[in-house]
Amino acid sequence: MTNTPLERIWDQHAITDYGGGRALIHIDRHFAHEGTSARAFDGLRRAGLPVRRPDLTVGTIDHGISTMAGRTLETWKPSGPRNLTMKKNCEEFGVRLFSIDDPRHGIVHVAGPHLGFALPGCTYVCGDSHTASCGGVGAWAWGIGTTEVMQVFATQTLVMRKPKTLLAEFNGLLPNGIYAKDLILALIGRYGVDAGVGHVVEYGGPAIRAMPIEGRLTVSNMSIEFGARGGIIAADDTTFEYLHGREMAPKDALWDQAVKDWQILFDTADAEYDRVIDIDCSTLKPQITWGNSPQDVLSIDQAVPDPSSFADADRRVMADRALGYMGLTPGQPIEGTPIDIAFIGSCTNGRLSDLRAAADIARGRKVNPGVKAIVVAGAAHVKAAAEAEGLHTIFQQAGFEWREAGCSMCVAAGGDIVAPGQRSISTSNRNFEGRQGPGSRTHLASPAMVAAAAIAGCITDVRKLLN
Amino acid sequence: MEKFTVVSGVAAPMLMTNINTDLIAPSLMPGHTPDEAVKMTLREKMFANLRFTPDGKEKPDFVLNQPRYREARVILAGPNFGCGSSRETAVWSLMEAGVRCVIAPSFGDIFHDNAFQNGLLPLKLDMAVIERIAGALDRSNAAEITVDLTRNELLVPGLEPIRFELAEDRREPLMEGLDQLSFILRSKDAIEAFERDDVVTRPWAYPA
Ligand code: SF4
Repeated sequence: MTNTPLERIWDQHAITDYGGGRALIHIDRHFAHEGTSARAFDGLRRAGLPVRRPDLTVGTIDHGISTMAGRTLETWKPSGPRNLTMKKNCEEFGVRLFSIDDPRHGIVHVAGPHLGFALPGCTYVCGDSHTASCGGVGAWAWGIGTTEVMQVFATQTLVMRKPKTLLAEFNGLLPNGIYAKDLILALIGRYGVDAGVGHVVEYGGPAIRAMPIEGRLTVSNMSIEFGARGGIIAADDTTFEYLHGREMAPKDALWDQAVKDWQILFDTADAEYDRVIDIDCSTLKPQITWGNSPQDVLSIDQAVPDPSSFADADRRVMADRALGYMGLTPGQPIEGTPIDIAFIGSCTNGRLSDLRAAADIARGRKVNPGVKAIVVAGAAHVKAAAEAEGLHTIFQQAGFEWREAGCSMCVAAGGDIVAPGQRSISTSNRNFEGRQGPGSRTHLASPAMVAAAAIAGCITDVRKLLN
Repeated sequence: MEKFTVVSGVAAPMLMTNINTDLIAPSLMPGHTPDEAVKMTLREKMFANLRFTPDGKEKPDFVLNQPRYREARVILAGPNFGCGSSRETAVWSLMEAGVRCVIAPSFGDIFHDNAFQNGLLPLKLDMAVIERIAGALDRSNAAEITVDLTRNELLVPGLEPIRFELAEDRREPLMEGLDQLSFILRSKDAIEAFERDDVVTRPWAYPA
C-alpha cells in the first residue's frame, strides 16, 4: 500500500520502527469495559504500575448489566461482582468511568463516536473486537486482548505489525428498504468471513459517501466478521459535521486545525491498496443469515442452500452442521420461517437511526403474539433521543419491550437469553452456535427486517411493509 | 509467560473451518444457569457447546470427549481458527486445559496475537499438511506429536520431520517466556519523547 490513510496514520504513530513491518505504535484513545479489563488492572497492581495516560482513557460497564428499568450494577447477579470491581478499579487508577447512572453511558462502540472520543486519524483501541466500529468516523480502531489492554494502560503503546489494506468499494446507491447492515452482510456473504484476515478494510464508493455516520459505524462494526481486525472510512464533510461540537471532540482553533489535518490525511487521490474488491449496491435485496457463520447470507427471496451445492468440501460439512443446529431444511425458502424472538440493539444496530428505521415499521402495527420482541438502545443518549421523538411509545404500543442501554441479548448477557431451540432474528453481528445462549438459533438482519419479522411472526421481506 | 521450547503431547483433529472464540470459550454453559457458569473454570468451559448438549450431557462423538484425545496438548484445526471476538479467555481456556499449540492454515488476527502474548503457539501450516498429519495419527496407535521450536520442526509418527516457519520476533519471546510489556517498558524514554513532539504536531489529539 502507498498513500493510503492507514499508511499515513501508521507513520504518524510509529514511535520506534523495529523493521520487518513492526513498530511500537502510540495509542491516542483507549476505551475500557468491565468484561476485559479486570485482569489487566490486576496486572498493573501486581507490577506496581499506574495507568499512564488517564486523560486518554475512559471506561464503561456495558456487557454484564441488566437492561431492565431501575437496574443497578448488581441486578444481573452473575456479573455484579465484576461490575463493582470495574468501578473500584477506575477509581483507584483515576480512569473516568461512564457507569449506568451517567448520561454518557453506553455500549463502548456506540458511546465512543457519539462523545467525540473516537476521532479521525486517531489510533483507538478497546478490549473488544467490535472496536472496528469506530473506523466509521475515520479512526484506525481495533480490538485487543486483555494482555494488550494492560500494555496500553501501562505504556499507551502497542507493538504492531503493519496490516495490509483492502479497499471495499460499494458502488451504486442503496435501494429503498436496504440499509447499511444489508450492505455489510452482502459483502461478507460474497467474499467470506476470512477475506479480511491480516488487513484493515477501507470502505469507499458512492454508497458509503452518501451514508450518514451511523450507517458507516454499522458497516465498519462488522469488519471483524469479515476477518479484518479493523475497518476505516475516509473522514469527509459528513464526518466533520457529525463530530463538530461533541463533548470530547477538539474545540475552536484546535478543531479548525484538526479538520485541515484530516483533509490531508484522507486525500485518497494517489492511494494504492493491496487489494480492491467491489459490490454493486443498487440491486441488493434485504439480507438475512441462515447458518452459524456470518458468511451464511441469503437475500430474502432465496432458499436455504443444500450443503451439496457448495464446491468446497469444508463448507459442505459446516453447512450440514449448521442446518442441523439451526433446524432448517435445504431448499426451504428463508422467508416464512417462524421466529420466537426479535432483538433490536447492539453496537451494530443500536443507534438512533436504527431505532427510527425499526419504529417506521412498527408504527401502528402489533408484534405477533408468539414473538418476544425487545428494543435495547445502544447508549443512554440513544434512549433519551429516541424518547424525545416518541419512538418508545411506538414500540411499546406495538408490543416491544423498551429497555435501558447495554449489550443484552447480543451476547446472552444481562439476563436476556434465547432458550435452547428458540429462533431469534437479531440486529447484532454474530450468529455463532450458542452466542445468544446455549442452543440458540440466530438470524442476523437489519433493524427494519427484525421489526418486520416481529410483526409477521416469521422472517419476512421488510419491503412489503414499507409505505 | 510460560516458555515454549519442545512440547510433546496428544494432537486432536478438529478440522472444522472458522472455529470461533465463542465456541472455544463460551461465557454461558450448556445445562447450567448463568450464575453457575460464572463460577466455572475456563478449563471446564473450553468448547462447551461442542462438548455438551444444550441440557449439559456430554456428547460422546466430540473429539475431545474421546478417551484418546481428552488430554490433548495440540489441536489440529481448519482455516480461520479463533475468528470472532477479542476475548482472551479463548486462549486462557486452551492453556488451562493444557493445550500449548494450535496448528491451522490461518487464524483470527486477535486470537493469533493473544496466543503469542500467553505462550500458546499458533502454528500456520498448509491444510494439506495438516490433513496429512491427521491421517498419519489416525493410522498409528499413538496420537502424540512433538512441536520442537528449537529446530522449527514437527515430529509426527510415521512421517518425515515437518519444517515450519516462524518469524524470529515471534519465536524468541516464546522460547524465553518473555512478556511483551517488559519489552515495551524499555522504550519509556522514546514514548515520552514521541508524545512531546506529537502534542505539537497534532495538538487536537490531546485533551486540553
Ligand atoms: S453489543 Fe454485542 S458485539 Fe457489541 S460490544 Fe456488546 S456484546 Fe460485543
